[in-house]
Amino acid sequence: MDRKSNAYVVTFAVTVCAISAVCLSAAYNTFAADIAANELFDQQKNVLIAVGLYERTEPKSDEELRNLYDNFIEEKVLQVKREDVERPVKQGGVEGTETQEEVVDMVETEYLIADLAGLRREEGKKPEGDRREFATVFRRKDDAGATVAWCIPISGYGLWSTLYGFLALEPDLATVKGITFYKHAETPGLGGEVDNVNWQAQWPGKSVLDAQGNVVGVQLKKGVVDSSVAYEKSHMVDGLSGATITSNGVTKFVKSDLERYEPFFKKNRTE
Amino acid sequence: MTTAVAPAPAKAPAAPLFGKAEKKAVLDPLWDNNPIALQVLGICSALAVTIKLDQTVLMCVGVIAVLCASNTIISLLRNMIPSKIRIIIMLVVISSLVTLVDILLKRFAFDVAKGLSVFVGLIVTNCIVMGRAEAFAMANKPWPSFLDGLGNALGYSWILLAVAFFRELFGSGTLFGVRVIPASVYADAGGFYFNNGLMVLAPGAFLLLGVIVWVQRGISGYTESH
Repeated sequence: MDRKSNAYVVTFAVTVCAISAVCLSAAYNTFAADIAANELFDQQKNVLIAVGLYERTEPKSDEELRNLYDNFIEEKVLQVKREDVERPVKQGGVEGTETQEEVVDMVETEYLIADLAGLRREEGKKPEGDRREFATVFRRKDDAGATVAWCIPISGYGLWSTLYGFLALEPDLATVKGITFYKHAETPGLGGEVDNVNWQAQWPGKSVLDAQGNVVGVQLKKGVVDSSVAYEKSHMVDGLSGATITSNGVTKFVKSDLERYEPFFKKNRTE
Repeated sequence: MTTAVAPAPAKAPAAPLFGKAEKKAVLDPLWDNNPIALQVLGICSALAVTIKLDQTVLMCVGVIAVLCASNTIISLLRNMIPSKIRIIIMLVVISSLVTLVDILLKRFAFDVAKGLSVFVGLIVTNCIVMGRAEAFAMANKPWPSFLDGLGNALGYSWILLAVAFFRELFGSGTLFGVRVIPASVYADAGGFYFNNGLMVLAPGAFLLLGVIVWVQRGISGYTESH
């Protein structure tokens, strides 16, 4: 074939692409299970960090971490029940009602988190009305089995990517115990600063409920929190500089995830 | 399988595996023609991944693997690659290799790979890799190309490691995560010492890299030609 002909160029390009595609898929499939196991372990580590059982810099072997997780973390799978709820709304001075789908209840199930992926696949095959929705929650218990902390997965959009993390609450289910992020693709140095331990250290002690008991979450303020203002002191942390969209995203999904779990929290809140 | 070794068939005298030219291909980029210090390529990752030595080592391993393999593969294909689309073909080869390295790192060194975040993927855009494929591998046989890749990757690596050594030592007081500057001298514990915060930020790496390039050029006697 003539090296300069278009046919040769196209054939060559297609061949090279096909060969690389096959090599990469083969490599990925060989290691997919191991990589998934690594990711799962990384998530468990982040649960431990969020609930205050482990610090990132602490030298602990994988074995010790697994033991900690097995002994002090209880995983639960909850079934989420949603219903249409009528809420009063005021639009343009006219008062009316609006129907919104909201989480009304969360029921504990016997399912295990390990089987959740399969369970969700099953649900996906059912007709839309019959599908069940599941959510996970983690409970840190002490040696006697009493609750030391609760932990929920949080996730939502930042600027470039979906951020995934964990938010841990004290047993009162109103005070933050810790936050971690384990997966995101935000800009390193800007939105990527969600990983900064010094920034995460601002979260513990913040209250996610206002005085009336409504979920307000924790807001990322644009700028620095003024601790002389009571509301800012209890409900806000510093925003991430140069990352307004990531900051707003975190504010938004922390609140909406907390709202989702609120029916479950209500049942478990201890005064 | 027998353990007896058959005598090697007599070969026509070939180019020596490690002749003068081959040695030069490896050693030249280490000092006299260093890709970072003299050609000022690959600076982006030199700034980004040099906060901690363990990350830097992994990054260097990644670059060494990618550069050697890409140079070898491009060199093997050099007579087949249509010149019209050669840059695209190089990109396909390089990005496939980088993806492969990424998969392997996630399998065997998950934590450190996670710390490197996007920078493993960004090896694709490291000018050294593309530069060597275009400038050397397209015109030379596989073995010299492999050596050229190895030399350039090592030249890149030692500068990165030097930067990371100083950044981790003065920025965090540790080396490979092991405490070197004793905790007792820190101001927190009643001592006098503070970590140099500049060192963990990108501008610190810039300054450090500038100093290293300066020293390297001072010794090697290189001057910019106009």
